[in-house]
Amino acid sequence: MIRASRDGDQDAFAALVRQHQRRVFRLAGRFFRRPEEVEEVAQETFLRAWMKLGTYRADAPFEHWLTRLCLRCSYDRLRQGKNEPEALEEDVESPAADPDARMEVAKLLAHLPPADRFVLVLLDGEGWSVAEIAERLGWTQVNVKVRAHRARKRLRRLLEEG
Amino acid sequence: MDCRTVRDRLMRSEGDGEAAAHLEACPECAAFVRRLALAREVLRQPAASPDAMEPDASFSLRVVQWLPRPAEVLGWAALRALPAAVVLVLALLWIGVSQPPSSPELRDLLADSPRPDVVLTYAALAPEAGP
Repeated sequence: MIRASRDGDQDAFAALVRQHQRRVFRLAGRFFRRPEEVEEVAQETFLRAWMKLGTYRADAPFEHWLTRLCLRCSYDRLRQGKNEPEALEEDVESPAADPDARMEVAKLLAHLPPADRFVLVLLDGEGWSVAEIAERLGWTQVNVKVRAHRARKRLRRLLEEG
Repeated sequence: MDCRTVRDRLMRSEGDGEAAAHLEACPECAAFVRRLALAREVLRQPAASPDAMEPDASFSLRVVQWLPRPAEVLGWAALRALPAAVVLVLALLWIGVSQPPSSPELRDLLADSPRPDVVLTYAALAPEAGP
């Protein structure tokens, strides 16, 4: 399918999309609340995949390559501020014992810069290590460590002030 | 152990017995650790609802409709190559303009009716460069 897609076969690419779309939606749904945002990021991911298929080397699984594209699309969108961070947690589900406290913390988190939240979601949400984030995003480990340090510092300040 | 050290450890998920003892005695740090736990819980939850993370049946068709046709891809590639092409043209123009004027001998040689002695001299010195 990948080879046929690379040769311009759009039916093969559609099959490739169907095979991986749930993973891409799930990952995009980590960062964006509104369904249309999630779909736009997924579309952008597959569009980039189509344009860059020629650069894919089969030495790594296709899922990893696609994950990287999706993470970069999400990161770019967050950095551009296209999402609505202030509305991010308005209707957050509250299964915790103290829903008010959880809502309060969710609102605090909405004040984090998007780049910080992105790194914290990967570290604390996905549970990825620094090495895994570096590998999946194509960043250096030092870069990830610096970003994680800054993000945690801001999170701590928010929680202390809140 | 002071509050700052305890919070540093908690942020790195490195709580121990000493930190636990501090938390029992310090209500502010205890409140902080509760908020931190809630923050991590929120971060573990997806931002979107489960429905939003489920693609509908026609998603792949919509993606294919959005794919650029080969001509569009070529157009974008040409657009991306435009700055390099402009630089190349300017460089060639600059090289052309900055060339030193041709020598008087060569000008004589390329004249409409070159003198026979000039042609003979030039052919003798550089036969491969003759007109």
